[in-house]
Amino acid sequence: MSDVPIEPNDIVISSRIRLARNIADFPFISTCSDDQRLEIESVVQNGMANDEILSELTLLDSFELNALERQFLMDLQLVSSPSRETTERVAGASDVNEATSSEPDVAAVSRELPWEELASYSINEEDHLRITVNRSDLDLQAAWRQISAIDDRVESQLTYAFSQQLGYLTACPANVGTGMRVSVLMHLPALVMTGQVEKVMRSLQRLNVVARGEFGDSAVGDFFRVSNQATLGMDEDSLIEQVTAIVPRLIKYEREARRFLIEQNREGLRRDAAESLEKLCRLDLEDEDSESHEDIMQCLSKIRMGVGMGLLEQADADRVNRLFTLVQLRDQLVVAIAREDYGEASELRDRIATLEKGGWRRNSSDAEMIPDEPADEGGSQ
Amino acid sequence: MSAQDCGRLNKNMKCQKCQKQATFHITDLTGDDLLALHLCPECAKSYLETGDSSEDAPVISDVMSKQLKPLEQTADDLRELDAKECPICGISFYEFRQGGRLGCPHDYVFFGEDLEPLLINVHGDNQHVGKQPKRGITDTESQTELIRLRRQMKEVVEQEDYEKASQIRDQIRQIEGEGPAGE
Repeated sequence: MSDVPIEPNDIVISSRIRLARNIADFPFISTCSDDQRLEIESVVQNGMANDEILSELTLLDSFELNALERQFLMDLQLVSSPSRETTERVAGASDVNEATSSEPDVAAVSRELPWEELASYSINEEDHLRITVNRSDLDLQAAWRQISAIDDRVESQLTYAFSQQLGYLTACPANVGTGMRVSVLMHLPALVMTGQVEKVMRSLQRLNVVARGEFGDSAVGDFFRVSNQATLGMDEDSLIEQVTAIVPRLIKYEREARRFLIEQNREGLRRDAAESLEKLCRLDLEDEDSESHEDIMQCLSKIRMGVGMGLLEQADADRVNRLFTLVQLRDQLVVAIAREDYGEASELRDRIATLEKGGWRRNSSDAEMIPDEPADEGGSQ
Repeated sequence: MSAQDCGRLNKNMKCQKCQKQATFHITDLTGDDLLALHLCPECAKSYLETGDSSEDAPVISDVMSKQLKPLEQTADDLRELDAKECPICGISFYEFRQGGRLGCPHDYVFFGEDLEPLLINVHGDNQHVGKQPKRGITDTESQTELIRLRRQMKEVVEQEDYEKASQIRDQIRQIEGEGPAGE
């Protein structure tokens, strides 16, 4: 693994490990009654509360979060986005009448303590329990040590559904075995622009690695999550190795494609990035509309690529930094409010206000704009 | 991507499929090595659009339907399989095929043979290696029994048969008391 870069860069964004676990003496979610779901929730919560470290994980009830907040949480990969597949599922038992049963019931978030990177769990999504560790770098071995330690602690409180032959038993047979999904989030705009991305993705399949578009429709996005396809028949270290081995290859291909593009049309790319930055500054970042969310991701992609390729002028690069900081601060504010940490929330609110006044938008009249007001659609360029 | 004119750098390069000027330079990654292709816009377009457009990830119901093809030789076999119902959670194989989600851990035992081709297809394997619960192997039979008893208890309560319900409750308590959670 020495050839795999650990540090994130302009192409690798973050990494993640997720474990799917179920409690042995309950049916899977699809056949659970409402009462059983509540019971599962309380069994898991009690288990967590019994452990001094697990009890430090802060709980977020996602029903209490509005759509905007959930959107930001999705960006952080804390709550998996409701899948169409499960929503369309034909309810089997007659007493299952909810069409939106894929909505996660509870998601827990831990920042800072006691784990060094973001650890979270959710209850009653597709499986009874899903534990997730996100990292802002590529150190998946560290992520595995961390999530396995959490898993050990949970397991000392709950009895997992496990079979000697098939490992951890999951609602979907595609996750059975280790129940582990290892993934790396990558930004591959040049492979998309040169029309090579589908071929790359197909070639990955032969290596038992799959890539899905991240953040909305995969047909338009430049962000891809690369993950292991199989979960059964390989141990956790091998699965990590399988995914991380792909990363340097993808980086190389993306770099080649970027070099190609820059040779062809450097000025066009620069203009694209600069225009995206203008557009993003006019977009309402707090718009709950998912369409505008995709717009935002498209703009971010172009800007990110422009920064990565060194195309933006210094003034624009500074604005990008402020913009990303702003997005991060807003994320932190959501979490602080959910944790009822109002001291931190007020501090964050002030920092956001300062940053917004500090002119991350180009002209001062834009800087005065508050989210409630309609965006200046004419724009200045 | 629109066909950008790349001729400036590669004026003399001819398309490898026809004799027009190559303006697309594609790197294909089918093997371990890169395959460099130089094509004109039309050839590049048809090259990039060919190939199976299969999903990146196996969608269980798709895989299932492929897996079940051999069985469709006799529609009766399929109908029989679809009608199979887990005695613990009550989910039928048909419901699983439609939704792609199993109903309880026991389904892996009850539908064991029927799931095997699917597992092999998705994972290329049917034997777990890797982490195991540290508390030793749990007694899955008693766990399954608990799921069954709880379902049964719910039914008898609905029928207002409280004598039966109290018996079942005691059985549940007994199993729970023996379980690892009680240690």
